[in-house]
Amino acid sequence: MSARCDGSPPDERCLAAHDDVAAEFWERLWPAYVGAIGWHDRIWAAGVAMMRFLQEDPPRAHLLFVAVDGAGPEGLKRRDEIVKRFADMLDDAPRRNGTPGLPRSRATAEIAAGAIYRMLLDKVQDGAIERGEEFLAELIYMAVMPYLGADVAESELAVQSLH
Amino acid sequence: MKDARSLSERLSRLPGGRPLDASEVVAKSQRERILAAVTELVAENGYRGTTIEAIAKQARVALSTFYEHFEDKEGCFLAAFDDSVAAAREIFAELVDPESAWPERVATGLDLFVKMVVAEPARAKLCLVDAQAAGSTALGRYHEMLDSVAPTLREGRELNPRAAGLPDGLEGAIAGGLAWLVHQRLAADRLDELPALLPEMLQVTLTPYVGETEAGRAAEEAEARQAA
Repeated sequence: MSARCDGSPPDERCLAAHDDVAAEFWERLWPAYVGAIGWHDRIWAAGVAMMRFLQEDPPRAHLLFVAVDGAGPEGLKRRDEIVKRFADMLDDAPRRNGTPGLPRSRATAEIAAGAIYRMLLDKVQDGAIERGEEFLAELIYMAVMPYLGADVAESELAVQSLH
Repeated sequence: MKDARSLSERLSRLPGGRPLDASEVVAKSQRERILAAVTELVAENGYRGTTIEAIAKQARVALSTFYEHFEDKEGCFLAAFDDSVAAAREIFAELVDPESAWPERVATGLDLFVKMVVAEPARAKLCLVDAQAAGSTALGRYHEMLDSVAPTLREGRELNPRAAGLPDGLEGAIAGGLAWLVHQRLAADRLDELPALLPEMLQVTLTPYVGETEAGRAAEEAEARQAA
């Protein structure tokens, strides 16, 4: 398997491997997300499941987030699918649970999801997973800040160890 | 806005310099037409679906003329990207008052960004969509473009007494999030939605630095300006 899928034309085997990893990724994240009660705990549960998934196998994390970056329209499509599902998680539950400070449209979830993806891409590309760096709280900050406000989001940065 | 030129006119303006002789004027016009052609064709057909032959035809230049200006399609694409980004930076430098308060600068900058995207969708598509799918050099420049926004956003940390604890990559992430939102509208030809999303873009961008109450106020002001 190549380290990136961005040859010309993009490496089909690499893209197929990405698809397999993405399917495994969601098989882990989604049950964790829906299994928790309340939006805030759901976001944390999904975040913990995601970090475990990435840390278990750093090359797999690389394949999921870095390999498809720049792999043409096929790569963009795969990236967009991941970001859209992040946005679904951020956007759907607050509406259901009536979280205070609810933003006016799905656009907020899209911005936050795009921001989380960018954080993940930078961290994975930079080797943070291999170094065992903890950055879940930073992702949670980005997820909750638009919904719960700056103070609550900042408090998340201090409580990572409790989770 | 300080002068009456539209954002499209400003984006299309080539950088000034010394007076040109006749052959340089011709070369400049050819280059300009080639860059306009690649921008339009990539917006219609994507980077991969655009050929040098089609660019030359649309630009009304011979293939040999194309190669006098650019080594290959990638070089041409990158020149169009660089010119568009440079033109946008000039607009920000001209129209965002550096003396104004930081939230106001961000509000003006975001407003200009949205207006530029709506005024010049083909250029926006080239810079924000196709640059991510046009090879590793273009992708690198796309990421550099997003990273270049971070220092301006980071100035907002001065307004938050607890800013030292904020994530290091916050500003790059916010830029990435905003770019993704716009990317989705460009890719789906739903640019008409974009102006109405400006207040929400502003609220998310300002909240980490000034808190949600002040950010909400700025978003409401942006909405009121739009309504007016």
